[in-house]
Parts: sequence; structure tokens; C-alpha cells
Amino acid sequence: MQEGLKNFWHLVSLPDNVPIIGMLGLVIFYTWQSMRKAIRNDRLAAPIEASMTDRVQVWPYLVRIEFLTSVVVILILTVWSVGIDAPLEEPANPGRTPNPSKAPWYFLGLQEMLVYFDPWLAGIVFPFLIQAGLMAIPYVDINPKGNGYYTWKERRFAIGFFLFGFLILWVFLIVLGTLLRGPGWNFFFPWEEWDAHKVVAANSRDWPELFGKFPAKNVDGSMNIGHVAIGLLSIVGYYVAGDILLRKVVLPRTTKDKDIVKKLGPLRYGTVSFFVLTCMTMPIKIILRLTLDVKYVLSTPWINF
Amino acid sequence: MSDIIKVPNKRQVVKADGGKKDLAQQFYEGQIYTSIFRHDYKDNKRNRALQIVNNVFLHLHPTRVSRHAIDVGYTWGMGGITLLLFIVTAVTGILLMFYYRPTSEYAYNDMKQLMHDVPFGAFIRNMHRWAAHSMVICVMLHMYRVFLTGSYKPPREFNWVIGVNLLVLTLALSFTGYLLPWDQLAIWAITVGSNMARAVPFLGHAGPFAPEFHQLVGFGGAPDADVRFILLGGTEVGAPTLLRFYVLHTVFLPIVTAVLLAVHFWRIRKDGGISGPPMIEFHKAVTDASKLKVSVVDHLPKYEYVEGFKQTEGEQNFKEVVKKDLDTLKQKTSTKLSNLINAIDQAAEQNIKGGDDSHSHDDHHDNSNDHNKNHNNNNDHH
Repeated sequence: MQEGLKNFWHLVSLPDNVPIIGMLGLVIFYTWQSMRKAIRNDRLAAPIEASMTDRVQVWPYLVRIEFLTSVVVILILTVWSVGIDAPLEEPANPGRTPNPSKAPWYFLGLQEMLVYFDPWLAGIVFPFLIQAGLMAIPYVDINPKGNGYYTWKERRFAIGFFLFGFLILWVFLIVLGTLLRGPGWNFFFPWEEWDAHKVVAANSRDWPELFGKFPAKNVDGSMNIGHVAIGLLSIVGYYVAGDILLRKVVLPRTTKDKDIVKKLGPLRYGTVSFFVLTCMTMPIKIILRLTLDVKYVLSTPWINF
Repeated sequence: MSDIIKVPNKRQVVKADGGKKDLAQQFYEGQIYTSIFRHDYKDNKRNRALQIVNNVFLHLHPTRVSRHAIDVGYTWGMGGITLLLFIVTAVTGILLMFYYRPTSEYAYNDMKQLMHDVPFGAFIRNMHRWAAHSMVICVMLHMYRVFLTGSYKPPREFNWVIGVNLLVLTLALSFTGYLLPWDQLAIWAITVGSNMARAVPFLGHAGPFAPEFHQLVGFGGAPDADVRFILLGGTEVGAPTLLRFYVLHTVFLPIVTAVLLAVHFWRIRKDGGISGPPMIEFHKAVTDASKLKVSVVDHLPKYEYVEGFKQTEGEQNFKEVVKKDLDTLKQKTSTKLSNLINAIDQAAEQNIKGGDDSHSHDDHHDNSNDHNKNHNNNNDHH
């Protein structure tokens, strides 16, 4: 335990991990601050920011804030640069792979996804969908409220889903990948020592195998029809059931609007449904893997989901 | 309003006056200062506006902003801090370029020299790395704040799209720079990151359907003919990768980022500045994007000219000029319209005096006709 905690402290104090700890602190602070403002705004008749619409001159009121901020930021950077050296390890050696081999910290969320999904999904499709989904947000959000002030009540679905995606699926996975993933990308609690020879049973199975004898490949090497059928049905069924849940329960209840789906229209609603449901496959797969040891929902010779 | 344009030239004629002014006056009214700054140093509304408008860097800002735009608790300032960090990384990066050579023989040793031999080398390199990490963090916090305040809603949708692309560019800049130290951390992190590229569907040799696609077009199915090969300049992270990433990191990506930053700031101004709750009368127009945009022409010159004129000619003079111009306008319009304007003026005056409505409307009419005749007489003189 002592050794493990010493290892954890060493991790936390690594020069390259210091910004991540800082980011964690800032994210927690800003989440708390914005939610506090949101709750206060929701209680009032008009948001607090609406009382501040008179104009002030940029010189000096804005530029002095900018000047002071620049001075403070450069001061922090200077002290930081004098105090902590950037890492420079041994010269590049293609013949020796360090264990663990981690991507830069902002990609650790994606590297974590590699545990649960194949590289083409985790490394290509998901980043592309994240980017496309982010760009689609302003065009599918037809709620005119909440434009220019903090709120919770008026934008429950939007803020709730974004908080989940940003805090859990992005920031938390970065922290997990930095501090709790060790050699072989195995999971280590903070008090555990990083053991490069940790033995972890690899007894995962595919989702259809939970329902009976439906392996991905038959004994003679051919594709198992039952496996493909159950896998496909499960994926289609997930999207259908999820769509019904979204349409009938989640959206109307969170937006307090019975006709929200009709107002969105088929194109906007279809976009929202696709991105939300595809995004939720990540935590669902993680839970399936951790609880039922499920590796693939559907396994074919060409692609695995 | 023609009188307003004739603002006398404030620049002093250069003459030897035997030092009758004190030192501060000589400095602020001297040729050097006035040639650089083009307005004087007194603190008044006009000069405060001119400080912004006359400065090529500062005129990114409007001359006035609403009060919530300077509320750091609302904006968090993360956008501005990100820009500052971009500039810091650019400047420190350029300084590092004096010593760093992007080849596999020299890269690591140049880094060692920077950290140990070059004066302030470690300081500049550290600042570059910490500013870069902080920039990625601040970009994410900026996106977080913009989302929580709904500042992507009309008319700012496209600016959000630009912002997402800036986020991806920031990550790409950080990724390409990560390789340059050429140590174990760098090469293996980039190997892990770029290994994703071999799993691209169709175009990566380990991706789904790549062999079939390769048979079709001759590209995508082999380690030396797929998208990862293009990215790395080879089948592994090697010397070509280093050079490639160096050019991307120092030239191409910063230029693209700067261009998108320009569009990003341009759109902030065009869409009405920092977002805020709609003003009372705009509640009705909250879904009409065109009504929320700010027209610069309506706001900038008029305010500056009016303030400038008031400053130089005095408030009283300004009122007289306005009255004179309005009178000229009245004469030039038709009789009916002038009568209407006069009637409104007199009614307003009555209201101000105390609401004395003993005069009938007909009386007003007769009075205004007389008034008009006088004006028509005056017309002959013009």
C-alpha cells in the first residue's frame, strides 16, 4: 500500500501531469460556479446578466481587465517554467517500447475507448462523430431560451447531456487514463503498485454467447448465423428502443414540451437521436464489459462492434 | 450636419516658443507623440473611444461594450486567455527554432543543448510546453463556458462551428509538436496516436474492407500504400515523420489556425459582441437572427462624430447647430409636412410648459400658417 501510494504521488507530480491536475481543479470550480449562477438565475424573473445591459467604454474598463489578466497569466507561466522542467526522457529507440505506452493526455479518452471498441471505431469513427456532433449542436437546438445567461431549468436536456459527455466521457476518462491505467493498460487503484506482470484473466465472450451456443465462428470456420442474427437484432433493437425512449420519455419530460419532437422535425430529431444513442453506446459497452465480460456485441469477419 | 465634419486640426504647428509649456505638455503635444497617436492625452469620452478606434490591435474591440461583457464571472475570460497562450507559444516556438534541427541525428541533442547549455533555453522550452498544455485546457474550458451560456444559439451558430474546428486544430498542433523532442515519450505517444490511422475504414491497411478497396483502386490495403503511410512518410514513425510533423507544426497549422482565428473574431463583432440576455425590445426578435446583428455603420461614425463635435465645439454649440439643421430641413420639406412638424413641436412645448390645452387645434393651425409664411420669406435669402 505504501509503495502504491508513493507511486501514485509520483504520477500526480510528474511534470506533464501537473496541467491535468490543474484542469481537473478548474473544471470542478467552473462547473460549481456556473451551476450556482444557473440556480440563482432560475429563481429570479430575469437573469442577473439582463440587469447589466448598459454600455461601458472599452477603454479603460475592458482593456484593464485584459491587461491584468495577461500579466497574471504570464506571471504564472514564468514561475511554472522556472520551477518545473518539461520532460526529456531517453533518446527515441524504436526497438524498446515503454510499458505503458500512452498517447498525449488529451487523447487518453480515445485510448481508453480502445479497451472496449476496435481501433477503427474508437480511433476513427468516434472522433469523427464527436466533431460532427459538436458542430451540429447549434443547428439542432431550437430552444430560444438560455441565450446569453446561465440556466438549468430552461435547458435541462442540452446541459444535462453536455455535462455527461464533457465531464464523464471526456474529462473523467482523461484522469482515468493518466492516473489509474498502468502497464498493459490494466487498471490499478491509486494504492496499488504498478506491476508489469499482473495477470488478468482474459475470459471475455461475445454478447450473443450469453443467450446460448452462438460463437462468432463455427468449429469449421464458417460464420455462425445465430451469432450474426442476435448481434444485428440487438443493435437494431437498441436503436429502436432507445429512439422510443428518447421520443416518448426523455425529450418531452426534460424539455417540458409534449410536442418537442414535432417541433424539431424529422431531420433535427433524427440527428439528435442518432448522436445521443451512438454516444450512449460507449458507457453501455463499458458496463457490459465490466459486469458481464462482453467483448463484442457483434463479431463478423470484416468488422466487430 | 455639415458643421460637424469641420473639426479644426489639433496638431500644433512646429515652432520654437522658448519653452513656455511644461515638460508633460511638451511631450504630449510634441511632434513625436502626436505623430504616433493622432489624438491628445486628455481623459474624455472622445479620446477613450479614439484609443480603441485608432489602434490597429485594439480596434478588434468596439468602443463600448455592455456591462456583462466585462463580467469575468460570466465570460471566464478563457477565449482571451487562449489567444494570449497562442501568442506565447508562437513567440517561444520561434525562439526555439533558432536551436532546434528537425532531423533524427540532431533533434534529441539539440533538445539536450537547449535544456542545459543555451542560456534561458530550459526556460523558453518549458514555457512553450506549459503554454501549449494550458492552451488545450483553456480551449476546452472556453467551449464549456460557451455551451453553458447558450452562446452558440442564433445568430452565433457558425462561430461555434469555427470554434470546433479551432479545437481540432489546437489538438493537431499539440500532437505534431509532441513528437519534436524525439525522446521515448514523444516517439511512442505519436506511435500510439498514429496507429489509429491504420484502422481507417477502406484507407488504412488494418481497417475494415481495406483489402477489397485496395483491389479496386490500388490504395489502402498495404502498409506502404495507405493513409497512415501518408501521415508518417513511412511505415513507422521515423525521420520523414519528424520533418513532416515539424513543417505542419511550425508553418502549416499555425497559418490555418491564424486564419480561422481571424474569422472567429470577425464573427464575434458581426454577431453582436459577447452574448447576453436579449434587451427588452429584442425579446420579440429573439428568433429573428437578422435583427440581432449589429450594424457598424449605424453605430460607429455617428457616435464618434457626435462625441467629437461636442468635445471640440461644446455642448451648447452642438444644440444650436442641430436646431439650425432641423429648421433647414423643415423649410425644404413640403408645407403640409412642415405644418405637421411645427404642430408637433408646439404640442411638445405645451406639454413641457404644464399641459395648458386651452388653445384649440384651429388656433394652432393658424399660428403655424403664419410661422410658415415667415419661413418662406426667409427662404428667399438662402
